[in-house]
Amino acid sequence: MTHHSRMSLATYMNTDSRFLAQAYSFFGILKVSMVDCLAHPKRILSNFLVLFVRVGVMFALYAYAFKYVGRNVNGISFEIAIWSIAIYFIILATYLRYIFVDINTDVVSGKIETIVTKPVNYLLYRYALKLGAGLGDMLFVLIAVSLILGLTIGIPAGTHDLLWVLEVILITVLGMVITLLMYSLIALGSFWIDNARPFFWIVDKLVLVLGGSYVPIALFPIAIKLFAIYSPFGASMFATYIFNPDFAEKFVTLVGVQVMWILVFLILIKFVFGRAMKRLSVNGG
Amino acid sequence: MNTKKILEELKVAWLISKMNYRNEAELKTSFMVQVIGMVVNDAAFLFVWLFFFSAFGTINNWSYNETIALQGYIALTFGLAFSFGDGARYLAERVHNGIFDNLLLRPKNLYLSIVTSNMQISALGDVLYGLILFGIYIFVAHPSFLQIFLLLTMAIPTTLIFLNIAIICSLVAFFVPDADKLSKNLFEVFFSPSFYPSSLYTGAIRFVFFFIIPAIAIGGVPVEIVRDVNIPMYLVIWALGIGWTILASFLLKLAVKRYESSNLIGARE
Repeated sequence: MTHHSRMSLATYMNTDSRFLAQAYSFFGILKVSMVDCLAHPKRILSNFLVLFVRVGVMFALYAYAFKYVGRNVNGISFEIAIWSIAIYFIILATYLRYIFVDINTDVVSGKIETIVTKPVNYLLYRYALKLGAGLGDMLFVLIAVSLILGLTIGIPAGTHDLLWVLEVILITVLGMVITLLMYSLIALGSFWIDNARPFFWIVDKLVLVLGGSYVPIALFPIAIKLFAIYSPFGASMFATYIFNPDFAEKFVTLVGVQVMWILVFLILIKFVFGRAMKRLSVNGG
Repeated sequence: MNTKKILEELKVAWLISKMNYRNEAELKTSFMVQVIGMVVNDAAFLFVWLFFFSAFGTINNWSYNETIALQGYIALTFGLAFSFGDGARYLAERVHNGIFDNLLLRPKNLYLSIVTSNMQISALGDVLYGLILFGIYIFVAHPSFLQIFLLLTMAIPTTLIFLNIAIICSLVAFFVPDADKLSKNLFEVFFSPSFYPSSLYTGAIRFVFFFIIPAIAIGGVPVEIVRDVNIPMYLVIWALGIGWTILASFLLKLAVKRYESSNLIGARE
């Protein structure tokens, strides 16, 4: 073994152990955050109450609308429309988009300087906190809403085997990753402008429209539907497609789009975060 | 409280709001970006309803015109309430963080001190957007002079209802520890149903969403009042505005009795 290759191996092992340490910290923080979230049952119940009202109103709206037209619209039945909207709001209940608020506040208040001096990756630390709390928040509403909808309108027709479950998990997780990356990228803009909040609103509303919050994507005009599929705003909410009749057929395309956006955001974040850290001066105090 | 005293308190509240506004407007670029950003943000809802009505047609006599007016009401009401009275939303956070004492010790009316303690500059974008939508509604629906009068004047009681519900939801912080998120969720329960055509709500649900959780009183019902020129209901909306203000003031007095200062030491805001 040459000196050069020994160095490479050492560097590799060092990188490897650093990666493991970061992963260990990430899951440690995530676990603590989740346990903390689950320790507040009143908050979880109030989250469920909000979701119940929102889905309940949409239920009434679409029950009336489908009764009025008397048929499926663009191949979408009443059951599929309600499940699609409910899934949107269940994912919304994770509050992952508020990663923007956390990072934006850290930057604007200067708190970030106290976190970056710690031996953890700042962004991973924030992601772990948000994800832990988000999963804790989502767990109860996911079970409760699924039970309520399953008992009232049933599960839409289609093949729902183990493969389908795995596809649903994959598409949901990738969507959550896009959400974290996209909103944290906007938040990093606070290093250059006084407050990036207006950009948050605009992106948030694009997700609201193109993610299928109030109107399922299948009911959109074709041009908007295509934009929803190929933009990161729609890609973050592909989980709402899982009951669509053509989900299995489109699955590979949907995952491909998600992976592409994750790669794009990772590159952008690496670049922007690096530049942002150069602008940061830690003054102590 | 006599009239002179009320006017004096309102004058102080107005001066505080003016000062808040000047503080926020100092950063001109940020101010403009926030206001315009909010207008763009709000416009998303209109697109959602455009897609909905193009797929389904009308909903129980509600079409695109009524929805424009409804979105206008919600934006204007939200904007008026929180551009000058955003403190209502932060009450739970203040109580939780132990910084409510600052307001409690002021020698002025507590209700107005709470309300004017914060200003949300982006809410001015909501006001602007609401007025634009009212302009569009007047242009497309051709309302009579009386209907325009009803449309504009009802923004006062709807704002009162909205603001006082925000205060009442925040009061939960006096009874439940760490209730910041809880109070925000309670407010969402009230606010979420207001976005939809009020003709959806019938029977007992309509009663609940009008009197108990007055979600449709801040937009849906006022739109129907304007469309049908329903004067008795117009008066009911005003009565609700005044009623919720009295109830919020009363509940605030009760809740404050439960407050225990945490004697937080720190820099004063």
